[in-house]
Amino acid sequence: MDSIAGKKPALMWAVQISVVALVLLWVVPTFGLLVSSFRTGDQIVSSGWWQALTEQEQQLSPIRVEGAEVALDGAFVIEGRLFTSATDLLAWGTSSVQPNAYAPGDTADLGEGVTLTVQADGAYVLTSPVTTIGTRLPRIFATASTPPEFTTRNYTNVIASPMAGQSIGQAFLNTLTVAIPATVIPILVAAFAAYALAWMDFPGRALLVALIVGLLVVPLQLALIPLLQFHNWIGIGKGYLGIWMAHTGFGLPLAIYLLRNYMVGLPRDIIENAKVDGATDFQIFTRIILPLSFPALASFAIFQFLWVWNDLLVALIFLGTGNDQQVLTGNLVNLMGSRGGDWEILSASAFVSIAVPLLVFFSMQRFLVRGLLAGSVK
Amino acid sequence: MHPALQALVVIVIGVGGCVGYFYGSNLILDKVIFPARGADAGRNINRANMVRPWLFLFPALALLCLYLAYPVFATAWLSLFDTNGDGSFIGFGNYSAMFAEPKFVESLKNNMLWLVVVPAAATGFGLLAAQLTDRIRWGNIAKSLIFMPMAISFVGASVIFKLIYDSRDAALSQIGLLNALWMKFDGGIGSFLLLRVLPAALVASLLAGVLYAGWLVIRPLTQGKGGNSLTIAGRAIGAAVALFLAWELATWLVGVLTNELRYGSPQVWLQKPYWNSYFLMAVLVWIQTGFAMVILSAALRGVPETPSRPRSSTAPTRSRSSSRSRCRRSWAPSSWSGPRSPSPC
Repeated sequence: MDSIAGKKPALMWAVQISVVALVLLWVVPTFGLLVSSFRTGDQIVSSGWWQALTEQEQQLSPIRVEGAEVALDGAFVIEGRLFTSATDLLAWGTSSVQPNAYAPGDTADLGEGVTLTVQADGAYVLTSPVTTIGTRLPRIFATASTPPEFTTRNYTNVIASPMAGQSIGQAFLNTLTVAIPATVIPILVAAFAAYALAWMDFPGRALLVALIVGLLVVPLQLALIPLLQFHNWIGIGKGYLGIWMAHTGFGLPLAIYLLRNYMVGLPRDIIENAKVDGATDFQIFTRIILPLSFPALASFAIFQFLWVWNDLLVALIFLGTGNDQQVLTGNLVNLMGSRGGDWEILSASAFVSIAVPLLVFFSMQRFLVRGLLAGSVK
Repeated sequence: MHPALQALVVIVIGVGGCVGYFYGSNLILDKVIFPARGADAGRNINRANMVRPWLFLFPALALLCLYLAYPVFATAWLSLFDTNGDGSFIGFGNYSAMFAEPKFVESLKNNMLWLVVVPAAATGFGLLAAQLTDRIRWGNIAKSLIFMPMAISFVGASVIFKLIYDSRDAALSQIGLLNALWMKFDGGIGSFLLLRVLPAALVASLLAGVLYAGWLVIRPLTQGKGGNSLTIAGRAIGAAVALFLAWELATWLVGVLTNELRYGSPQVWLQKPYWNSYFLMAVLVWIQTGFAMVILSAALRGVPETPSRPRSSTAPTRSRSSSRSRCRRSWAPSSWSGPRSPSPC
């Protein structure tokens, strides 16, 4: 590589720049969501996330003049503030038709001798020749520039309080409840089967391997209706037991295929020596095969975990929709329907749901890559 | 009971049950049914060894039959009945009704489009990413970042891209990235260069590339060197795919050159006829490019496909630079060495 870099620096620069562009293209969407999830709802809708660090020019929602009326020099005066935060007023008005009619410091004549003055820092003074008690006070439409504001409140909100009937925290627990058994059980079942297919002699072994590999191509959509009927028939209906079984069934062909391929490659000498020394198959499996197959077990575990965590379809079919069963993906779909415009909720929820897969992904990437190269893709 | 607690109990019962099943059934086989002692000790050991594989296989086979094999036939069987009406047997009635539905035919066409375009685009980008990242020092980090969307669910990705494709009234500031970029164009010379000339040049060169690739695939047939019928069929399919892609790209070229561009008005990207499919495909391509990149990168470096295969059986490395750099820059180097194959580095 050094030689390439040494010979053609211009080319090397082109490569570097292309990679930077490619990486940016791939990272920016997720990064945008991450930034958005830390902004307040007002800020998200008033400017793009790439402007999160600049001052925001923002139309505030109309504020009605209110406060105690004070009689002063024969006039009645109300003083108050539009906002208390570090916000700068850019323009203001008293009707929605012309929300930017006046500059800060201007005095607006509201008719019948009523005047209104709003300063740049948000302080306003309403002066009226007659008392305003019992009348409708005017509304102020303000355009202000607000400093960048970041908050973790979106996360505390979505985790603790119910959104679309259910809190994300609860959905998170439900997803964990689905994902962990649905990862552990298939590994265990598949490991024994893979050992039998790899190292035990019996008639029909090759055919069985071929059949199991053949089952890899069965799309799980095909299985949904008969399996739901079956679950209802045996009485478990929609629930965790059903989805654990379903994910186990759907994950098995891949697990057996991966693990068998790996176990076949283990050294024959070790296993035969153990047999000569009087070890039973069960002992060989637990003492020798399992520890040696750890990399393959790990890569399948990661694949299955990511698959189950990110799954929406199987959960929709085999789980109920109640609070105690809805998973993260299902919850997110509901939110997109009912709270589609509430970006602060949507982005924080989405980030909660993709945080665990990303964590697993970055911490165990080498196992993932190895599994991938061993042919493990659904 | 709390579901998390229930899950814990199930893990314990499930795992314990599995281990107990395997251990207990072995024990019963060896001690009770075919005990390895007495007059028939030798025969019993052989018998036990004939039964044992099936003990190991039984749970997996039962689950596979029940959850994958049975539903295939059950679904096929169910598809022949009229479940809306009285549940009577109607033969292929459901299928004919399905094909008579214009929506179904349309979605079938869309599926075909996805089937051709998404793998082609993901593989193309993956090859590009693999080739580029293999040549630079921080390639592993770049790979890792491009690979990342693989871990994101489709639902998560849809929220992410909702933020990209978002469209709002022209008077408001755009919070969708694509529309924000779009609003920067004003129809001047810069817009002409970036939105007409550049895309047209890109699409035209892609079109030429696809046509050339299709020609490379089909050329042996024209020279009479077809090989067996399977190869011929593969080449024919490859050429057909290339032709289809070329047709799509030609449509793009015409579109790019003649489309009326409404500068200054935000576009609702996901409601534009014909193009909206491609905006959605972009999401899937974004997710899957990393996968193609990892596989292609490994293939280009000549590392073993499976951990079990010894290194010597792999294809020779393509070029000097890649063989020289293999040891030092192999991505996640420790992951390639299985228990038997020691790392050559």
